[in-house]
Amino acid sequence: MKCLVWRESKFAMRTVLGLGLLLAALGARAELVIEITQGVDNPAAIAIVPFAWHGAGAAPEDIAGVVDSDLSRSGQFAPVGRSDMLGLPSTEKEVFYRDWRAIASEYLLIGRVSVTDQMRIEFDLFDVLRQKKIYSGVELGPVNEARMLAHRVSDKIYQQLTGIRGAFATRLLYVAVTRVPGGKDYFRLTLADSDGARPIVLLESREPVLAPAWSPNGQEIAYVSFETNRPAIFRQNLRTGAREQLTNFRGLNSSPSWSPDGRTMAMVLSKDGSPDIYLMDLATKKLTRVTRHYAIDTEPSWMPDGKSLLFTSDRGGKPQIYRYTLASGQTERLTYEGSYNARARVAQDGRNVVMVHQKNGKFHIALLDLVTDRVQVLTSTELDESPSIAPNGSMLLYATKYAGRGILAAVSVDGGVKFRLPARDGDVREPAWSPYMSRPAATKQVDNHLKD
Amino acid sequence: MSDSIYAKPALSRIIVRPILATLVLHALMLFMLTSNWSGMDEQRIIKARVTPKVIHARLVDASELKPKKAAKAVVKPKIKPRIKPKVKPKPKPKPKPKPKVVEKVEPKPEPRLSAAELAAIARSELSQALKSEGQAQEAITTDELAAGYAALIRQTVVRYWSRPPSARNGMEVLLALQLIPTGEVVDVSVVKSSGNTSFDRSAVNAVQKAAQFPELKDLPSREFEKTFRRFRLLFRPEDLRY
Repeated sequence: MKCLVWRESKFAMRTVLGLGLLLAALGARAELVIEITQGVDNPAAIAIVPFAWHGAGAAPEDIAGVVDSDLSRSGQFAPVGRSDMLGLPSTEKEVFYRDWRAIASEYLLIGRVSVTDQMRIEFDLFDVLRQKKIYSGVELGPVNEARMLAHRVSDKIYQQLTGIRGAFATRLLYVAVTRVPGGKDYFRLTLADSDGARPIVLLESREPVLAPAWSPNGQEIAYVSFETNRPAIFRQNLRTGAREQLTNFRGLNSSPSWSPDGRTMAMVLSKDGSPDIYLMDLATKKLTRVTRHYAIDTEPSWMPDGKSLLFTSDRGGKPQIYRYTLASGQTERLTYEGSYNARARVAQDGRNVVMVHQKNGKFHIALLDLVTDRVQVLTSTELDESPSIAPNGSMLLYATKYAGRGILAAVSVDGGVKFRLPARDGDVREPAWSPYMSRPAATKQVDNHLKD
Repeated sequence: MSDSIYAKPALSRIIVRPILATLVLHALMLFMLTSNWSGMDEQRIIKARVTPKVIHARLVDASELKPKKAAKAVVKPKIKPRIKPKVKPKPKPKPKPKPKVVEKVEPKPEPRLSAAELAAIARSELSQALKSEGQAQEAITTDELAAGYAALIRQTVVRYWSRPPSARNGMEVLLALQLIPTGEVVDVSVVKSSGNTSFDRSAVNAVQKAAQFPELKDLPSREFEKTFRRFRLLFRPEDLRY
């Protein structure tokens, strides 16, 4: 019996050993991990306390107010109303987190503004939930650029909280048309801040002005003007106001588009027959013909790497987007969804393309994802045209009709946020969003001396 | 010699071996129940499930076997002392000791359920279902209880998670949470960053905003200690545009 038990226990031992190994393979006891794969993406609540003004008289600009409207417009933030604030701190010492937690604010921005010879904005950003300061910054600049300095504060906050560079301290070009019943209309090429504020007229003409475009460094612009009684492409330096006529060919001269390196300009000319895409070397003015087709090829737009161009062509019967690769000379069609896709503009990521897309007989702005080839309609308005994407790729601006007038509207690339830019008198069309601006004051000398 | 020994008591094969095996298994289970198992490397991911699907077999077996064990009292005392000491030392060196929770039961691998299915289930319903299950039905396995509460935590956090625009599908941030039995979050820290601070912050903020999972109050304290005193949240979006 003893022996038997021993044998049995040996058997048991083997079993135990086997099981032990099995368990070892399965691993030790694990800590629970819950996986979160979805979210709701609500805008983050941020309290932007009016910045303290240290100077004589009234503050020249409500900096916090500008930041507030910037962040609000982005759709990523829901600023807290000033009347809900339980205190108005301007220094870190005065911050009581519980006050901000009480009104469910996730972030808190405070700041101080002073002016000596320059305006100085100091600001601190706090994470209310974690009760700590996450960013401090200073912006310095001329007093008359106060709004641009405020936009730069917005850029910093936006980048801190979203991980994406802000594009508030950028500018817009657009053409405003004032109708003159029974007479000739006024066309005004206008430059404004990204929020539509501080418009400056760069060119005023009784003949059409079209297709404004930015140079990659944001210091020059190009456009088509009919002031010589035929369409011609001009370039203009924003700082000096110097202007140069680049083309004067018979027929169409249109759609200037600066290459990312700033040396070449793509354009549409019909001097050799039907409209085709050409490249002009801006230093030598030498032209290279890119497309050669009896159909209409138009609206060139550079890919951010400068190696290929997108353009619109009706070579397949209907307008569609094509891509021309410079090195190979190959042309490929990119859009197949819908019977009308035109005027493509590419985001800096080289992936998102915005374009005019016709659906059910209406013209919308749509986003084409070059990786997935998916087309997503972003707008619900009906006569949308001229999309222009922000340098950080988060928003795009387009022209549409509202209450019988041409206005500018914006939509986020995910389609979630939409707003209209304040409409001024007349029709507004052909917006062009600037690239990032290294110097906010670069255009301050531009004024209205170019009146036709 | 050995042949004759085995040949004689046929009962040894029919009865003793099964009993021994049973005892070994019980001993193992006991060990698993009482020992302090923890593992950092091997993380158990509960894709929280809601509908109870029970593997009752284990429990029923155990209750049925116990009386039998007692009946064979003759064998038991002899075997027990021999086997027990052998069982314990073996697995013991394996688990990495972790200052943690008193008692633990290791559940079986969890079944997986799609996020969409889970999202469809209303939170309140779930909470109620959990309560009744937890209190009324003794039969429900601890796995399922844990999975149910995990689903609840998951749904709560999802409602508060607002991703920054720089978030991309497949980014991952792992947070360690510490709770007290009221369900209140007393500590949250980033264990493994995604590399994107805004994304990490969005995850931490989701937990901070949730602040408490009050339903955990209804959880038996044993179960709370075992699973929810400390656990981890893995944030890995799958529903973004890209």
